Amino acid sequence: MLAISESISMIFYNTPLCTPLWALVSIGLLIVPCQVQTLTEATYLVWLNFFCIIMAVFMSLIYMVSHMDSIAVTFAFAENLGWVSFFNGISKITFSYLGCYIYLEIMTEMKQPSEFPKAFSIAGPFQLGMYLLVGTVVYLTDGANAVSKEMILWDISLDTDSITFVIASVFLLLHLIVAYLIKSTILTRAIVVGLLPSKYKNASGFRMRMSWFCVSGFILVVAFIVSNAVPIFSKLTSLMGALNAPLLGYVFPICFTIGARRSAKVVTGYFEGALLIGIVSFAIILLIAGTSANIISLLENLKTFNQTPFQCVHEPFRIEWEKSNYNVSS
Amino acid sequence: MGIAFAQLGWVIALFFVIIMCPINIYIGMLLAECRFLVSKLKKLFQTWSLIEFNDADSSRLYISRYGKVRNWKKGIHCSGSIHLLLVRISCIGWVHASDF
Repeated sequence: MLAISESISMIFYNTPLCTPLWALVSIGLLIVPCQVQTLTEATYLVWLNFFCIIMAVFMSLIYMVSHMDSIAVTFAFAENLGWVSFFNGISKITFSYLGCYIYLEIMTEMKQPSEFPKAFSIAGPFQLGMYLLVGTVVYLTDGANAVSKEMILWDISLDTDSITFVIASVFLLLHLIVAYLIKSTILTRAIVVGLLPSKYKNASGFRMRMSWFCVSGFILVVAFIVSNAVPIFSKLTSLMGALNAPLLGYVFPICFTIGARRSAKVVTGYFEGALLIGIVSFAIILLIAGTSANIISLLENLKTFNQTPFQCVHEPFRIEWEKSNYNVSS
Repeated sequence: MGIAFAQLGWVIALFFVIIMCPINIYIGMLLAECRFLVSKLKKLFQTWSLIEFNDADSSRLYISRYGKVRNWKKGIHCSGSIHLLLVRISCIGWVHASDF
């Protein structure tokens, strides 16, 4: 929700509206598409999503490389690396890879769920390649000042290349809308199926449609509250990475698998057992230390930039962009 | 991702970006295996339920979380039931029949 609001404000970069109002615009944009109840026939959405994110990212990267006058100062180990920035950075990487919470639902949607592991032969190298490419290009372009830019699109100049900036923002917005729809449909269905008695689970029934509308609307409201309670995008992703990723991405899948193996009398080998313990230990450390570090960092940022949750300051996105680019040039 | 590189520096950022990829693929594989095992056990359970439906006494039976088949009530023995005998045979390799 926060990223959607931000990308709309980036498209209309001269319009002076505050973040909560952009978030309300986002709700208006999402409430109708959220009424789609199944993803089975929506394969084209996945391709649209893929195309949009590729376009948004590559437009920014190509722009950055073609406008790179000199390579920024970079470090093998970041200067002033403390435990807060260490766990902040790791939380971001963890959040980037987090996908486990949706794997089971994807398998449910597949005609042949046994084919699911094959998806990693494409998704794994693609993710790794994209993350390495984005991280390397941004770090070489902005150096330590990359911290002041929330999104890579902010490297496109609004003064000289505003059309490129707007087109890239539109692609980003489309990607975010599709991504939200996929996740929202799955979450809404899980809640509706859990709440409704089985006799009302007919998808075309009035009661089902009303329940779907109420639940998807409720999720939008929750997203609105969260996005405005943590109004800094990079801090929100870090916090989600530290708070959700260890449990959803590592601890729960491992516990479920061990439980299923015990039920089916499948033995876990010593090496694998040690690996699982290692992953769970890492997840617990990230959960405790990462969440603490991110809360500290968030509070410091809110204080530095004089922001408060649900703050409504009507200023165009251009000012925010100028602030971040002013920081870079200084 | 650029922010993570700036916060960590090359060595730590590259290490975590590279190491997290196989870990996440591995976790995805574990979930796929988990789903496969659960669906197999579920099918086994459904087989039981189908037979239980035809058997007056078998409603007293259940499958415990370890897949063992036990009597619900003391003194109720299923050895006389042909259905349960068939199930017992079909479930060899999946459940421990020693608790009958």
